[in-house]
Amino acid sequence: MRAPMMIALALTLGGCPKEAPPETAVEAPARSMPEALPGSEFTVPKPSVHELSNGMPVFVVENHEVPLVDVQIVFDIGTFADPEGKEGAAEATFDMLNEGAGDMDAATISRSLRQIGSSLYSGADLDGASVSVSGMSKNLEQSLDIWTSVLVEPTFPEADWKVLQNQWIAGLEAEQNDPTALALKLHYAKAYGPTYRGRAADVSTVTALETADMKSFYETYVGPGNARILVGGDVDPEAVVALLDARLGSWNKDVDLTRPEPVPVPVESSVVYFVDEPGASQSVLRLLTPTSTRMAPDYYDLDVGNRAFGGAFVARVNMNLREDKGWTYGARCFTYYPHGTGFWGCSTSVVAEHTADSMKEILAELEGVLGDKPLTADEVAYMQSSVKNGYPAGFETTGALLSAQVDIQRYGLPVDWTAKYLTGVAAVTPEGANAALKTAIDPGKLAWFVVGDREQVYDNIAALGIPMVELDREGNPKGE
Amino acid sequence: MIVLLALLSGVALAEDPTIEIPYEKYELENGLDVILAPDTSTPIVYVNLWYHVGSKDETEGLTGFAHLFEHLMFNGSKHAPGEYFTPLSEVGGTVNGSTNTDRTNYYEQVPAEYLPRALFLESDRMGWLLDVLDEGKLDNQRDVVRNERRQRYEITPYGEAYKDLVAATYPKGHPYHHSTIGSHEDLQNASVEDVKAFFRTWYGPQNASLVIAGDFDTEATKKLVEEQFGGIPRGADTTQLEQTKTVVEPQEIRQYQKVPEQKFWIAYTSPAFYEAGDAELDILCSVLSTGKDSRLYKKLVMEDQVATQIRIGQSSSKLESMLIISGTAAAGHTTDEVIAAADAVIADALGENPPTQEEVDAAKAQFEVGFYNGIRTIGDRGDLLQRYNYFTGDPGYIDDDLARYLPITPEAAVAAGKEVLAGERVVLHIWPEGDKPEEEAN
Repeated sequence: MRAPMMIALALTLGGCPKEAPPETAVEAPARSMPEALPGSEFTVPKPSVHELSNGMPVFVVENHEVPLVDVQIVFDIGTFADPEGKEGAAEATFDMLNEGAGDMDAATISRSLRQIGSSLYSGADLDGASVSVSGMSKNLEQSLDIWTSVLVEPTFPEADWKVLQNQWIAGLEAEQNDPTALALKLHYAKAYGPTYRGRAADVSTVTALETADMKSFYETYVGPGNARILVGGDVDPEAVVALLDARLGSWNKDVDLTRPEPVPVPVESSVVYFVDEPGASQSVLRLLTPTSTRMAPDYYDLDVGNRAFGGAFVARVNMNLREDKGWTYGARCFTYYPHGTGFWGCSTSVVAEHTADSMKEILAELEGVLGDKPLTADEVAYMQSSVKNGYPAGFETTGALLSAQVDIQRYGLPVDWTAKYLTGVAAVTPEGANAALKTAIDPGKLAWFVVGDREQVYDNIAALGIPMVELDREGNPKGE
Repeated sequence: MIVLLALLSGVALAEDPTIEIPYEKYELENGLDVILAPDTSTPIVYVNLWYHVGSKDETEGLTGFAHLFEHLMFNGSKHAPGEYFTPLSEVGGTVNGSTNTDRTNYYEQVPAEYLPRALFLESDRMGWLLDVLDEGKLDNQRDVVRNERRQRYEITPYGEAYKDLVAATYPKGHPYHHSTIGSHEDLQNASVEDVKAFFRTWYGPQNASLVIAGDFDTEATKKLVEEQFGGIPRGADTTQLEQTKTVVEPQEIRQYQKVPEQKFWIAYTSPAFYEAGDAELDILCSVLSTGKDSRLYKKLVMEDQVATQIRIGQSSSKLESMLIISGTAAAGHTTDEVIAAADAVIADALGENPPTQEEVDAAKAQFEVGFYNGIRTIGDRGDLLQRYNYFTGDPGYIDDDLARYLPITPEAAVAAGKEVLAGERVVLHIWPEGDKPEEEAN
């Protein structure tokens, strides 16, 4: 009984002054989407660019809202350079940097940082590696001292490696039992075969790693020749560059700059890779197809096209699988650009009983967008508006601007790329977006990946008519 | 004093820092608390609305309902009947909501010029949600939530451990006994009538607080808030639950699952968020397990190598908190060995070898930096104002919060630890199925 009264009350209090009560049912007041306020022009801020005595570039973005500063050195090296049979070498090298440096052991490094409230992170991924320190600007010099030591005089202590090694092996075993992590790892293993991201650390390679491998990786690949430094926060650019130059300006060490051009395995016709997860109430469902590189001329077209098709909450795929069918908590499609050829794909987890149905729906959406239901001008304009209007928020902290430097280095983008991004997005036409989706995706050449309960889902998937390959948890095809 | 107004280019750093996030708080006639925090550092506004209801307020048979209801808030209201995300994503907004035991929040960050749109949409679902709510929407979001449960809890290794630990720590009938995600059965049983009743009880302006942070004109925004929210009638006052002090019934639970490693969780009950002892326990826990030089990590992971992970931490909530110890046994060791070793280290720290001044100072330094890390963005600052307002009644509590930590002595940290750890505890072991002892197998 209270709902109608609530609305009536809202009417009287809401807009008009109280006059004679209307004799018939009250019309809703003019509640409608209000006009926007006057906007302002946004200019993408620029980092200041500097160089240390040894030629290492430094990018600085000031932000004095809080008395914090983040310093990060980024190396153009990653797990792609792991030696054969020693997969994990890059990650181990960077994980071990803060286990011992100069005359400090791990506990001393940890204690020295904690006493000033600073934290240090070191790690490597597929295409990059970094060592960063973050803390109060008043403690910047002490933070930099520890960071520099970790960077230029690591000791790779044997005992600490044994501890890290055991933790890592435990983590890898845990990954084998996590359907989401397993699907991600094995999907790219199938996409590349035994090269590039297809090679990953596993229990046997991590067991085989020794500290000598890390020392060798460090000597070969970690130095000023493939590095840049990113600084953001409560600093004066000239002052921080002087502090950095005093510590790293004379760091001279040649590094191996060669890197392979990775090439994914072409998908000649669609296939479903399947891993059994007995009893799982949901199936992890993914699909991938190799596309073009990050520098392809239709990059922006595919970017906008993917957002409208599947990249956003309000895109076709999520609206269908989640908001219409209720089969998932969320479904997204993505573009992914490692070094070399990129990928387009989708990823979701769906209720077991509708695993094959979900694949059917994704295929129907794909056939639609590539066929008689191309993206409309409205859908494309919507995503362009979304990107343009959301862009300034990304520059609220220094992180976005600085991480753009990583992309600039990695892909060879123009240095003012962050400012040009919106121009690229704005230039996309519906024809361009649809054409890019067609170039990128052939619904008959998709590599699907499903981790699910064989008993509940296998036959239904097989009925779709796409050849299936059942894998064990290491990614090897199962014998009949 | 550091004033977090980005307009002020000359940030002053004092030796003894205090922190302030400038804001103004007032109340609409219908009871809605409004907190305005102007900040022109970026041309965005962050709107954050908290309803003072969480899973603690659910009735028996309706576990998971507060969270299911949160989902329904995104499926349209009378004057904005479509998907809630659509008009906000269109203008580059970031939108979401979340539910926990204590409260439900909704937020959107949009370009400054779209503040009217954000306020219109938030107020419309506060005032006119039920007009367009139907069985179909409920069925759809019920399915979505059940899939959220499957994804986050069921197919994730150890995904239900925390839920089981909490259920054993707080007895049946305690507001925290059941999990926020709820049970499939209760979610399946929820009806449109339940939705309507819940909305009328909890979603009135008198039970909510609105934070607007970012680049806006204060006077114009006050007018806007009045226009959009002022007409929504006040509902009946809600009953806010009193704090509890649970006496734990000691239990040792052993589960065998398809997992690779032996893990354990131990829970004690401890003082509620911001109550005496809460900050002291944070400091003690930091000394014990933050960093490679911390007591537990050094002994169990580095030296004895019985564990690969070990952690102790305060999980603070409104009615009461839990102090949780958790860890993973190294290969060849059992969680029982890890627990025995952890107990010995903790007993030593509370007895023979209390934390040194140096250790406590390092922990304080971490928390001080943590305060600044927690206010880097307009969204961070808006969240914090809202959190302080709800838990302490004072949005400007940040300085008092920092002052909870700075004076803590080693003795105070030990005293807080002794009080909590003298209580009974719940121990949950989760082991791989293959580790099940023969005599227990059936």
